[in-house]
Amino acid sequence: MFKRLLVQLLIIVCLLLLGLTTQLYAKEQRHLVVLNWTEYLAPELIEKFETEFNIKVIQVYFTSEENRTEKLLENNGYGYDIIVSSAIDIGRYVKRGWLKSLNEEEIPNLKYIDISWRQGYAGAEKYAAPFARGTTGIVYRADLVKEPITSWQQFYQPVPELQGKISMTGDSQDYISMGLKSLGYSANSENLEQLKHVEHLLLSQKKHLRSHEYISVEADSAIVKGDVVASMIYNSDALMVKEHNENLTFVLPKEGGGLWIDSFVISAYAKNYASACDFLNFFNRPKNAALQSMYSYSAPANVEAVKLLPADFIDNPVIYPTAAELKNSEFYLPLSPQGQRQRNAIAARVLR
Amino acid sequence: MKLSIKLPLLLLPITALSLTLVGYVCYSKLNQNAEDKTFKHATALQSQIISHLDSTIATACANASLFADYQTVRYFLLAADENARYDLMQRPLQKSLIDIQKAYPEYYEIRLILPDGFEDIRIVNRDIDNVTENEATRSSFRQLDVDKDINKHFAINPDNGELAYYLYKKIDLIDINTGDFSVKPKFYGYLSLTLDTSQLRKMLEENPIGTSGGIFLTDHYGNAIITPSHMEWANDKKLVAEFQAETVGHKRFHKLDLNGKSYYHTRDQVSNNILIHTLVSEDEILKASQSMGSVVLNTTVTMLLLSLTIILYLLRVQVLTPLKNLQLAFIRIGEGDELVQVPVTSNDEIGELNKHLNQMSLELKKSNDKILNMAFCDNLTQLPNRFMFHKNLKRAMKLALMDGTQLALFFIDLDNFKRINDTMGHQTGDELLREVAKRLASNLRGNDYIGRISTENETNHLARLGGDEFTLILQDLDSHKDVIPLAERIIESISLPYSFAGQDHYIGASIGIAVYPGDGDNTEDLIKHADLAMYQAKANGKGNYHFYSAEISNLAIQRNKLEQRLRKAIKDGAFELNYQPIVDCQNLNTRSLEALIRWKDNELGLVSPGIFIPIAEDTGLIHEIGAWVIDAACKQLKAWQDSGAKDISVAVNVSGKQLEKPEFFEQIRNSIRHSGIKAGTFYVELTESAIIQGKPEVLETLRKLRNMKVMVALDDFGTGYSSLSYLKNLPIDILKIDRSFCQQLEEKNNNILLSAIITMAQALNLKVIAEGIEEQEQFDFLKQSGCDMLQGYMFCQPQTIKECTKRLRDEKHITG
Repeated sequence: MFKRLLVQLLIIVCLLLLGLTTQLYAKEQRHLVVLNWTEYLAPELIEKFETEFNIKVIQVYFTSEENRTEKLLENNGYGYDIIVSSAIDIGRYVKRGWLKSLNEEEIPNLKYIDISWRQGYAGAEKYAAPFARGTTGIVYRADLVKEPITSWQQFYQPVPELQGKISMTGDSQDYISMGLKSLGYSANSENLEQLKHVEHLLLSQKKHLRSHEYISVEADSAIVKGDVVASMIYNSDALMVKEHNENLTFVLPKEGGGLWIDSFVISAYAKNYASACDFLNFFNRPKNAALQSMYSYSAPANVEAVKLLPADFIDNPVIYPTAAELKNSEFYLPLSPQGQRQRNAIAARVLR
Repeated sequence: MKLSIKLPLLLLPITALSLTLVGYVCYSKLNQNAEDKTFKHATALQSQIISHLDSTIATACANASLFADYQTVRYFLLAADENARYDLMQRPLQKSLIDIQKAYPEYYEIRLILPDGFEDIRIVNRDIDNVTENEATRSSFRQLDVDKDINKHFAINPDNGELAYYLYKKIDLIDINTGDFSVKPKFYGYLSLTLDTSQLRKMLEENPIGTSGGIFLTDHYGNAIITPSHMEWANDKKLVAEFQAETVGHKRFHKLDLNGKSYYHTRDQVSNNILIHTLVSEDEILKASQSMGSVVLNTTVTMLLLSLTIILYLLRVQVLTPLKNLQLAFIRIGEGDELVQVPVTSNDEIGELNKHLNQMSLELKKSNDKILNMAFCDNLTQLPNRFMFHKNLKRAMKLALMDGTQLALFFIDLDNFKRINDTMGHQTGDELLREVAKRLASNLRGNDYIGRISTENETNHLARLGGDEFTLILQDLDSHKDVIPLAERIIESISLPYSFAGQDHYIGASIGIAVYPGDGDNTEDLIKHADLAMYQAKANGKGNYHFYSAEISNLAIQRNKLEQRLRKAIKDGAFELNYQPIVDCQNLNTRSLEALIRWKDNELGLVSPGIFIPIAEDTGLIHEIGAWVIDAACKQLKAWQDSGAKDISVAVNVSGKQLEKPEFFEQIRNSIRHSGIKAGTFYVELTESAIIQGKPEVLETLRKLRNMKVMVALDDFGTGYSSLSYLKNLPIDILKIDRSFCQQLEEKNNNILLSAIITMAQALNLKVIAEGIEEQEQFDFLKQSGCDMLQGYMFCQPQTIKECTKRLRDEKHITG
């Protein structure tokens, strides 16, 4: 009897030990995969989150919006917990079934987010946790350009001093839309004539481009070195790279720029849903949101965070352009399939 | 026909034929080669193109299959709706297709075509506008076989109007969105690759065969697919028809006739509906060989001319010229050229022939020389003979005429040779002549006369004419007097004794000398004149030389005339005999009468016997004359004896010549018998020379005469060489001392000699008659010396028969 009890006890101990080690091992393996732009989330916040929640954050970077979609398509949306996405793609991802809707109970800090931001795109409101807002404009080297750049037209039809020294983003959405704007059309135009027009413009500009890759914001960036004197850029990146050279000047062209909102979304296939919720909750703590905002020079969606931002941040016209400046700027809107197809074809021809 | 024509005529066609044959064989071989080479080249090109095409197509098929299997393609086609398709799927798909195209730029159009023909994605790497996105409007699309995994064909790309190779990979998918994998895959569209054919075209363009020929592609019906620009002419309906008739895959070119021109064609299958053709015009193929052919032709002609020239040259140098030389050599040999030697330059038959000819000529020359030697040489002395002498003389005279020098001709005649020859025999005579020749020759080697004797052979200048006659030609004289020392030396050397069989013999030489120019214009004259001069020398006393002069010639003419007249005289009996009394020394009574011939010619007048007797002797007339004299003398003696003069005898002079004649004795005997004279009253007078040789026949004749009581007197004793001791062996009765003794009694102790002779003769029981007594002292001396009889003008001159008869009557020999 006793003996039998002993054996049972041993087995229990063994099982317990086994369970413990398994649990310990599992705890060590915990990680959160974030699909993200480079140099976007403030490293100190990531560290803080990791410490606080005892989880490893693994960041997978994409180089452009399209690149993100490609990466997601590779595994049909699998492999990531959190995705940083622009507003327009969220709806598409949702349709594809790649995203999980956000539960405010699980992420209580969502309440700090300006509701109007969340409702900006149809079909995205339940999935997106917007955290940054910005514009798409031009950064140029005031010291290397004789004539200040004020328009897309200057950028798309570069004068000789700019030829060969301008850099474009790799996103067809950006360069086609801004191209349309430089021609005075809407960024979301589906007009075939206008599209043909812009294709022609892009093809003629192409020979003057130094690169079709989004410019780096690091110290070794081509624009810092002066190899490039003007580039299409997101305003936040412009300010980040400006840390390396004071002469860098961001301009929201007079034709108007692009408007964008970046959001966190949780993958439908997230392995670590709870931690993903923790991550979103953590980044929406007003203080963290403010830190993130200041790190990335982008206007926060977190209403409480805005209150924490210093006055010079709020007053920075690059981050907070005036209504007049934004007058001609546009958000990218979903297009009809054929419209999108046309743009894709243009992109294919331009990029080939 | 001559060889120089015959051989080229023979060689020309052979050379021409063989060279032409070689040329033709080369030409046809070249043609064959050109065709083979072109065929090889064409088939190699074809297979290169086929393999290029095959591999391109195979690669494209494999790639199309690979690309069609891309996840982006699947996502794109399986997208739930158009939004998803174009918003999300298209860009990544485009990017992967662009990447593909960057890796395979030859797929210049990569398309994704939906089953209904909608061209959903089109990636091009060049600026080509898309004519339509609805492929369903294109027949080539409608013709695609939906059951085929891959459709492929050449077609004109309507977008750019260029020929392209199209490849449609059919994409069948199972829609995973349905979650049901058991359903059959559904046809979702085509992944289409459009392949650039410019590479292929380039290959065709860059590989023309000739200038207009080359390779092109057609479909199975012969419709042109790719025709290089230089071969547009090949798109010919007729050609297509021809192709259809042909089987694929020849080993050789197939010959076609198009629009009257010849073409070579071959074809092969690329894939099931593509044919690759090679079409070359025959002219092009054969152009090289034809130009080569003309080169061959030119070369052939050149070689022909060259080889003919060389052959003719060699023929001339190696055969004809040597043959000609040989021929000339034969002609020369035939013409009697003595030694003909042709150079032996080659080792061939002609060389051999030349060698043999040389050998032959040499042999001929040797035997000719032998014959010549025999013909031109005196066998005995090895001196040139009369014939050769004439030749040499002729030449020497020519030379002298040219050089303006003089030459002298010696005519040497031996004195007394005949006597030695007669007494000692021919062998000794021959020996003597050889010795004389030697002495003459050795004398010529002395240089004590001015003139060139012999640079070659002195015997050319010396010659023996026959018998004891020698001649000598002396050239390069400045003056005829230059030869005198030589003449004297010859005479002296010849007169030295000759010793044969322990016995010494003496002969002399008389030399007649004629000088050219001057003494004759031709050889005949010169020889004749030298001969005359020699006679003159002899006439002047033997052992002498004499230059020819015109007088001698006159003498000769006279002598000739004399001879003629003499013959006439004999015929006419124009001679008469005179008699000179020989008186007794004591009482001066006539004892005998010496009959002396007297010839009074109508033209010449009285001719002395001293002149005509030698001529008679030389001509042989002496026998007739002598016979007449003996006969006449006998008759006269008989007349006188009948008149009473019983003790008177008559002497007749007999020449040696007469004595030598065997009939002589018979003749005398007959004359004596017929005349009926008293025995012992007739006697003959002989000169010393007639008997001195002691010929047995002569001595026998003399003995027989003496037996017949015909006495023998030795006339002219003292002029010859006979010694007194010799006299005792001679069958003589009377010794007549030569008149020179008596007439020169005072000189050289002649008187002592004379008395000694008389004493000696009387001791030998010979009667002695002295001749030529003209003066009292002579008579006195001779009387005192005891001479038996005397003869001379002192007593009586030769007298006619009448006068003699009177004298005999006066002396009472004749009574009445």
